[in-house]
Amino acid sequence: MDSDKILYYAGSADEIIEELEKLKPGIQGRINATPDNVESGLAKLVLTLIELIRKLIEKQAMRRIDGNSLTEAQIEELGETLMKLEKKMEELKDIFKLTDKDLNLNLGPLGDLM
Amino acid sequence: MPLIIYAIFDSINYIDSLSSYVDALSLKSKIKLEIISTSTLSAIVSRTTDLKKQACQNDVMIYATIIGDIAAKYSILPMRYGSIVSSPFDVTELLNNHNETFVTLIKKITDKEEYSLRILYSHLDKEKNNTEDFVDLSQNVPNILQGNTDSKKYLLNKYIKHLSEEKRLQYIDKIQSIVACNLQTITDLIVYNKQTTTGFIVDAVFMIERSKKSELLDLVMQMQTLFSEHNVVLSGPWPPYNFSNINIG
Repeated sequence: MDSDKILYYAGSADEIIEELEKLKPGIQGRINATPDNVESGLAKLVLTLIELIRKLIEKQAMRRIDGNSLTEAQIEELGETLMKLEKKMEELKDIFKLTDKDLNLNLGPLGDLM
Repeated sequence: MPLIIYAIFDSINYIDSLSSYVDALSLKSKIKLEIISTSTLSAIVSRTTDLKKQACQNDVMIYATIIGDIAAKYSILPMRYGSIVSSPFDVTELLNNHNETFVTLIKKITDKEEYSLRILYSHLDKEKNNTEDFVDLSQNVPNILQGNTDSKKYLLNKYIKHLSEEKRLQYIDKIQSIVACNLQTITDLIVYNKQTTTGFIVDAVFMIERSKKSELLDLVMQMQTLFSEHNVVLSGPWPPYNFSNINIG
């Protein structure tokens, strides 16, 4: 952002710059699939979708805890399932050398997927 | 020869003054700018040799600067970089086909400027929130999550993060409604962008009348007093990109 366009700011300039830098459109949000790297491009897309579903399941689980609708046994089962799912995702990210930052898609005007 | 479209404006009111300004801008930017008009609308264009030219940062900057210069003086609808058509005929066709839409948009933004207001968490906020969250939120955990099994410890951790996120979103709603109340005293053209990073509390863009700039500054300073613990940034004036979404793709 042009500094002459900043009309007013209060707080730490460094912190503001740091946060605004994160908004710069990068290439991380794109699925870069070419004939040479189609496997990793596809892996990124598939893992992003799996991660989205995993987070939705996690959110739903929290809602059910909020709603007090789970028994002791269900809680144990749910915790174990979510833990295993997260562990499996970590393994897959390692295999395809992807980080949490990679697992996102920029949907243009709609913002980021996650 | 293909043409790059920079902006669209109301030719009835602005054609004379904008023509001479565009000529001066051509000299300054070293890009030969032209105006193509219908009876009601005009487009500022330049010729290009390549219909599918690869974008480079320098071209984008020049494009944005030209639009910024014109928007600083005139009420225009800025186009997005890459708005290229095949011929002058396509420009007039675009203006004619979307005449009503463009005229309505121009009316909405006439004599107004776009500004951006961002309220961000400071590092101090984040540290404070993290510590307070853990202590406060741990007390609101349902009994069913108390226990020493790995499953329960895992869920407890997730649940506290979930409560913390809920608390953050409630806080954002609260601050956003205070900002909305304040901004609504000078404009009703406000758009709130989705928080793209967790550092953002409010990311708002709005249009105000050119004459209300100092009123806006006063208002933002008052808001800063209210949110003294956060970082506040007001930027602008910008061309009205967020209020004239035109896609000719």
